[in-house]
Amino acid sequence: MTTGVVSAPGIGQRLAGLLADYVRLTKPRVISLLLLTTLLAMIMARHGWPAGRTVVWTMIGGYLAAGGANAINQWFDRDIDARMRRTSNRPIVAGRIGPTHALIYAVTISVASALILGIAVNWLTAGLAMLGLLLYVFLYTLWLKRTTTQNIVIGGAAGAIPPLVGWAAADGSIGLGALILFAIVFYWTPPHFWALALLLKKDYTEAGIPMLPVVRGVEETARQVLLWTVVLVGVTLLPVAAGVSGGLYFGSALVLGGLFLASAWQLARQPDERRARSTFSYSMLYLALLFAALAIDAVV
Amino acid sequence: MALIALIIATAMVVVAGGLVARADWAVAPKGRGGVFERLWVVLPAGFLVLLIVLAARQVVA
Repeated sequence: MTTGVVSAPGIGQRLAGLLADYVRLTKPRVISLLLLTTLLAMIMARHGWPAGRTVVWTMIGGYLAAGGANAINQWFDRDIDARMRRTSNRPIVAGRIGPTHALIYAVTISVASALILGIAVNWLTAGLAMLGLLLYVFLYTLWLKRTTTQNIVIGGAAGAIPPLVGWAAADGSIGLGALILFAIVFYWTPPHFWALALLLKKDYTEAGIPMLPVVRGVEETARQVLLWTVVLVGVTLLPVAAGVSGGLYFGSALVLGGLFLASAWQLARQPDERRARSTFSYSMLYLALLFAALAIDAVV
Repeated sequence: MALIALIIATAMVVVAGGLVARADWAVAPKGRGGVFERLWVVLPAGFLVLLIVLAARQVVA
């Protein structure tokens, strides 16, 4: 028999919910692709599987650095997050985590990341992870995001750091191979994010963020997605030119790049929501498969 | 194979990168107020040139 009284969640449930919110603050889904590029860069640098201990500490430290940056971003952007439907249920905006608690948590896991990477891996890796965090927080979040359409182009440098972190963790140094991996992620970011921005144009307009579709329109954004994809595919051939990768990767880069170009071409011809979603979805699969091809080529 | 990759990469990067840079430069504010906007156009283009030069050096070597 029902009593008609809705019981409040127990303390266990509330704690689990709070814990989930603290994890959500780090944006685990976004980080997973970054960590994949880190891991595959480690395999490339070693031409094989690196030491298990190094992998574990690099993944933990890398997660905490990226998570700290994401949490600081949500702390700073809570005003615009509240104005966008996509972000209005984030833990700080929804009031489930206080802003001060969120900032303390973000700084704590960021410092922990630097210490873990520095002590358990090496200080070059720790320094690169912190450089990525600082670029994301100060260059992208605090400066560029609200002021220029080039926000994700230049700010994309922060998201391109994880392969450098992986390479430095496995090899103890960074050379031309690492620089090219950084470039691949850097030039992948504009077509990836602008495809997403086409889907979220209304949200960005309401929040007053000068994303490319808001300022220069849908057609110009779709055209830029295509042009940046051409640049990206060109850059992905440089590992072969530089002697870092061989034929297996060359073929993979051409096929995967050809599919990305086809998707971007379709979007430029007819920039609608379906094609923007398709290009955005493929861009993530593309990066994962491209890095997998780089790692496999380095091992075989 | 390295030379073929370099030629294709250079062609794609120069043509598409040039078009992007030209379009972005055209809409960047002029004068002192637009210094950073123009810098944001120059930096990715300059990085592309650096990458091509470094890769070309490997091919030549």
